[in-house]
Amino acid sequence: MDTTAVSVVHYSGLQLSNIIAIINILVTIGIAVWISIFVNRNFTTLRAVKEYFITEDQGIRDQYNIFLETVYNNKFKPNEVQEWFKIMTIRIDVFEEFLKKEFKVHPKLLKHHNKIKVLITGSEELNANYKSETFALLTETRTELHKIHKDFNSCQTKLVIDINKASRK
Amino acid sequence: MFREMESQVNKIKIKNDYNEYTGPRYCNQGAASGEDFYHTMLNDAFSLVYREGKMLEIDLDDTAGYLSSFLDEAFGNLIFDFTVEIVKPRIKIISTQEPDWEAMIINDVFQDWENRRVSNNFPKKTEKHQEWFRYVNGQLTKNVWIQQQ
Repeated sequence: MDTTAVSVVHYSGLQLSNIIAIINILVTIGIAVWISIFVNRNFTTLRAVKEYFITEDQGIRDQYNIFLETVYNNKFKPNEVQEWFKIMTIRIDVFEEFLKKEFKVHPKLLKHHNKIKVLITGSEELNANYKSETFALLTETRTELHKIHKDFNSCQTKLVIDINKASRK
Repeated sequence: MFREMESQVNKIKIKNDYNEYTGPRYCNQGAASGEDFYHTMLNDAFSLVYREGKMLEIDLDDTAGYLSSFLDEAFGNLIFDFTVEIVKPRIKIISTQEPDWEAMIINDVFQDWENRRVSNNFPKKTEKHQEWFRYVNGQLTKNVWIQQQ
């Protein structure tokens, strides 16, 4: 320590070790304040964004389950099927687009959804009964639908995990 | 019947030029079917762009959605009558709201129906249609190619 530094220390009546301790405290307080304000705010924002996407994922799953249950019970009107699929396609498309932008997550919900859409809307059962009040899927169509629906559900569950693990882009 | 917008591209917007509420595959299954769209609009529209050396743009957006069978029947018949070689470079599908339809038509329907055409697996007609165009021996010929079944 040079004499100037020593004289400054003595002039202020503080030991160098005390000054270091004070600086240490100030830096610690600064970091704490920074963490509490900025990091916490970012964390809260990130959590809120993740919660939004997870809730939307759940919403899609719920809406899908209601739709398929109605179809399985032969209670869905044939001429309303394409509009339901169109609305759901747009919803999933927008959802996936924002997920890709916000996080490094590349879900495949739309891919499975499109398979279900083509399977149901291309089925002879639906087309032949288009003017009727309802339609019933054949056993082989149902079996195929169960398979794709299972993949769709697995994809949704994996998506929740991926969203929770993801960091912001 | 359909709009001639730019010099090199004729356009069909299904919502405005055909129907906002499209139906099933065949005429006998319901209104505004794929079979009906093909015979009342698409066949004529495509034969015109072929003769005039233009492109045909078909906009699928803003309707109440589609059954895949509607699109399969309409665009499939187009391939059956004109071949994939002639149709593919002259057609553009717009489907921003449901982009998967464009991919399905170009990748699946075109190939499936080209295979059907080559193997003479004729499409079903559930209504009596007026004469329509088909590419035969290097030229377009109008005829009732398939009778109602």
